[in-house]
Amino acid sequence: MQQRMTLSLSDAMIAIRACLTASAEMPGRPVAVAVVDHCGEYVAFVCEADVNAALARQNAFKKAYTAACMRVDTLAFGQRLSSQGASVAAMGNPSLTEGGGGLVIALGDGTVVGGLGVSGRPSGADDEAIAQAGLRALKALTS
Amino acid sequence: MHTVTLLGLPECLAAVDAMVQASVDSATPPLALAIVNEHGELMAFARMDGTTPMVQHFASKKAYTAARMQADLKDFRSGLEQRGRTVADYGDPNLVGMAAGGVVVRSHDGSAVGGIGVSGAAPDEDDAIARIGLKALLAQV
Repeated sequence: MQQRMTLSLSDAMIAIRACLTASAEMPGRPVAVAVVDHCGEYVAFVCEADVNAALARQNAFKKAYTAACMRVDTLAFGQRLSSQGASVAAMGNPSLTEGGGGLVIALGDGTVVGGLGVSGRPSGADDEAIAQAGLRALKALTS
Repeated sequence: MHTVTLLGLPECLAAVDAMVQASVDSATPPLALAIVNEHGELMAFARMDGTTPMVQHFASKKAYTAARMQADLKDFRSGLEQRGRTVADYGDPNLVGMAAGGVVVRSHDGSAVGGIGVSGAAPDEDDAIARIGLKALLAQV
């Protein structure tokens, strides 16, 4: 047996509220925000009304899942794959995704405790900026 | 064209907050809470620390069932029993036949706009928490 730290609901809700504040400060298409634990399982999720039905829900989860399970931010994950000439599809896991908006939640010692994913904006850079705001709100708890 | 009413984020967040608080106040086992729109798609989800993996799955399915069947789970279940039906007859693998912990959300005009699902405690506790969530949600709209 062994023990490890993982994300609490209270941590997840702090990140989600910070993401929603950031989203409100840069108005645009409605967003979905997902927070998963170290296993890639949902801890908390929210989305705004009229969020893109085909993409945003699934992608917010996929980004959080990818960050937590691959232990790398999704933007860096995509860059790593393309530098290797590899594709995310070839990994055979339909829950993996690439592109901005998925961030690793880790403790100061590097322990990955979860992932945060934002989706809904036409630009991955906006998703990323909103997610970064969520991660900043967790800084005091993870460092 | 016609107008539809969509469940919004502020009311969903208010419901999640109220249900988490109610769970803490009444010292239930840790709960998973899900709110879905009229299509059964997730609008908000929260899993309290210490829930089992099964519980997370049930909360979403209960919310989905209440929204899709436009009925509280208690009524959906008793309707099935009266008609000698099972949940499998609907051919939708996401429906569940549990009798507690799922309520339909209706707008002021009576149309179903979503569902709330709660799992993790005893059936009557799940139901009571779901109703607290419903009350908090409707107080926002």
